[in-house]
Amino acid sequence: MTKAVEISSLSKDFGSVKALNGFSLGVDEGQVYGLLGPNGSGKSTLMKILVGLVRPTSGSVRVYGNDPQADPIAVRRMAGYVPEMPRLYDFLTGREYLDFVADLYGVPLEVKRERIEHFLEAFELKGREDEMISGYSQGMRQKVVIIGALLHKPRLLIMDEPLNGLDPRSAKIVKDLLHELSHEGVTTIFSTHILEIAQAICERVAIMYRGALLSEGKVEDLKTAAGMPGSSLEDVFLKLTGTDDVRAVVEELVK
Amino acid sequence: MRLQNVRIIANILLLAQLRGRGDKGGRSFFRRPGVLLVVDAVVFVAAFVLVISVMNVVPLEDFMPIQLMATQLLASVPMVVLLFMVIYGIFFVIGETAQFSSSEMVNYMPISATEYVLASSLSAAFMHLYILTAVLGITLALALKFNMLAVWVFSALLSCFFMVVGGFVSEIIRAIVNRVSSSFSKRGGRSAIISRAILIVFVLVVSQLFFNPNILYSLLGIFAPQIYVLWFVPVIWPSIVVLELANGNLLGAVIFSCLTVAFGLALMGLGVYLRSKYWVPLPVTIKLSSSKAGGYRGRGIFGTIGFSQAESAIISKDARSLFRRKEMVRFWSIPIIMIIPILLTTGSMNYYETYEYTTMICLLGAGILGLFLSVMSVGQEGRAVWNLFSSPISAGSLFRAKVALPLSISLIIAAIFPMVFSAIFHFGFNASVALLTVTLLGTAVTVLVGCYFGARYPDLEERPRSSYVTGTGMLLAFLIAGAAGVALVSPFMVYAFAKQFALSIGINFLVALVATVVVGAVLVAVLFRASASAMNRFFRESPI
Repeated sequence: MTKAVEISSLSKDFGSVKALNGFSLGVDEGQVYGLLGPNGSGKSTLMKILVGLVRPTSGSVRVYGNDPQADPIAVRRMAGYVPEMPRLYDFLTGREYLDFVADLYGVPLEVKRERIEHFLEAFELKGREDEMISGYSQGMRQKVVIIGALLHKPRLLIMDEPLNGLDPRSAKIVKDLLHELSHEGVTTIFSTHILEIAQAICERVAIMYRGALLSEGKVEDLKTAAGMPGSSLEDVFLKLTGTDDVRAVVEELVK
Repeated sequence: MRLQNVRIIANILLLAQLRGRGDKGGRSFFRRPGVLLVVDAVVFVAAFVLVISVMNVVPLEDFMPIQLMATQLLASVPMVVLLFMVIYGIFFVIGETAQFSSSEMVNYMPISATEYVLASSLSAAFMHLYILTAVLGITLALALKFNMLAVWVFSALLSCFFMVVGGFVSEIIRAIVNRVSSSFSKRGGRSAIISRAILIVFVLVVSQLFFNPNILYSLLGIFAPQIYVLWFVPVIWPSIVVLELANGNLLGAVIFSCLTVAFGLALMGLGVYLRSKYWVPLPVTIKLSSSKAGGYRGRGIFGTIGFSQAESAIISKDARSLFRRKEMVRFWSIPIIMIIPILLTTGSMNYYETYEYTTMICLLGAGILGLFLSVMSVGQEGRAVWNLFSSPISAGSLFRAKVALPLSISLIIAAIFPMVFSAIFHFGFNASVALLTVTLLGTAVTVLVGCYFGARYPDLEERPRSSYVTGTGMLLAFLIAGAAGVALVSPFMVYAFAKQFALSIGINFLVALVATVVVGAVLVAVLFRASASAMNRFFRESPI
């Protein structure tokens, strides 16, 4: 199986803070890969490095054989990126924004017209596409960003909490879409805090904690490795990340 | 109403205003309320000392007109302060983050509308107190000189009161504009954007005229003798109080003082009413109908002249930003704002004065426009800059796109201004050619200076207020643009101001023209490379 992403001994320091600490990972082509981890575990930084937005302090990254630092344009051409808290151009309409994104990726006029209309319909944005984004709800903005990431038919999708703010129907569309795209060879790396989603759609997951890889593999393998074969992914996650003191915290809070 | 709440909110709002400016995120020494108070005091003393020093050298026979002017000034200060605060309020509404920086706390915290309105007005007044202390320093010096201390005390008290009353008016304006613009924008679409832009330009022009000393002095001269005729206009009442006191009429002063206080309280009541009724910020939905079938962009104008699809898309997006974002209007309206004073004040100038003034207006109108448009071209992306960083475009493409729009717009102005003014004022051929050459080259240079500092010192923060470029970047951009401008005009200045000397050392018009073109070409070449390199550096890693 071809490796879509290869990460080796990756570290990133922000001053004295180690966002990533010797992180290594390999993602096969066509996989839907989930990144799990508590806040501040380095998921977003890892994704930014994959797209070439952030330079690593040390280590190496290859995206379909390309180094995102040495040749960011080649990587970005084949990748679609959804950031954690996407800021859009509020003065553009939804349609204008997608038109702009398609142009950045060099999508031909007829193709972009067809694909944008198609996606607007699917995500129930039809009728609102000529309104300025300043009036959109968080969910609508998220839909626009997801469409923008899909417009140029990327080989790799890097999505940081993509289901944030989406209504159940749109979330289901995204999940099914990722599943279908993986059959066409599109690799997806996405982060989520909703462990049920990771369990439902990811072939493999990685649990990150303080910039390091705690555990990696299929969900069932993780449960077995943690010695919790009948448990939920949530229980495994809490145990591995050492954050299973939830009950004590809640009891303290309600005092 | 709890005064403790008023104090806390006023302090928070003051900090928001102080920290919303500059590039140190509020860490600068001068961004502390206590330091602001010291600055106010220093301004007061400096203004006082300056006027006293000037008065000491003025001959006695000139005292009569100055005394008359001092009385008019003392009477006008409260009204001028009120107008200043109203203009500030309007500018606040124009600013992008008005609703955020003024905070929505009143909507979800246990704070009454009265407490908020009072606190907001007090913080706004405190923020701009240096204007008042400067004027009070000047008027105190005059009052002492002409034995009008009691009048000055009343004028000062009324001015302080009207500073806060001006804050109430600002609150009223904000509440109304918020409400009206929400409703209007929903219905108006593209025409709402155009109407808003026209309104903002109008306000900017009026405020520019208001702060033009020549025009202000003329208006005061016309207006001051008419004060008693306009006794029924509330903003005139404090002026009448001061004049009544100056004339020794205590009863009149007391009556109009009471009326003034009642007027202030009424405005506060109105501000509180409107805030509690209209303030809740509603998300504005502006629908724009597509201008062409299908609504998708083809190659566009820039695409047809050789720019790539991505570059053309960025240019188109920036052009939309320029006209759709209300906080951008102040940048592209610069040429309009520059033209108005020239039309109002050139009547009394001779040919040479007109030419000098026109050259300055051309260079400032087109050059400053180009500088502003380019210096903010990167910073205006704000937090949305990830869109560019995550897309497959090169730093070179981004540079071409970012330089193309400011250059095109300002060069058009740089070509039109000299030609139109040359025709209107009948400048000779040589003078017209010199004006056109200097304006075109000067504009190209300032655009590139702006591009360099815009990419080198971008400010991508949006809260509490966007400034697009750091204070350091803006200051350096102005200094370098100014120096480049001086270098550019120096051959013609030598030729124009020391013609005999210039001719004796072989500088005739043609030589001056060639020298200007050479200096301009060198500056353009050097700055082009420098700004392309700055953009390359900026684009290496996402700053957010």
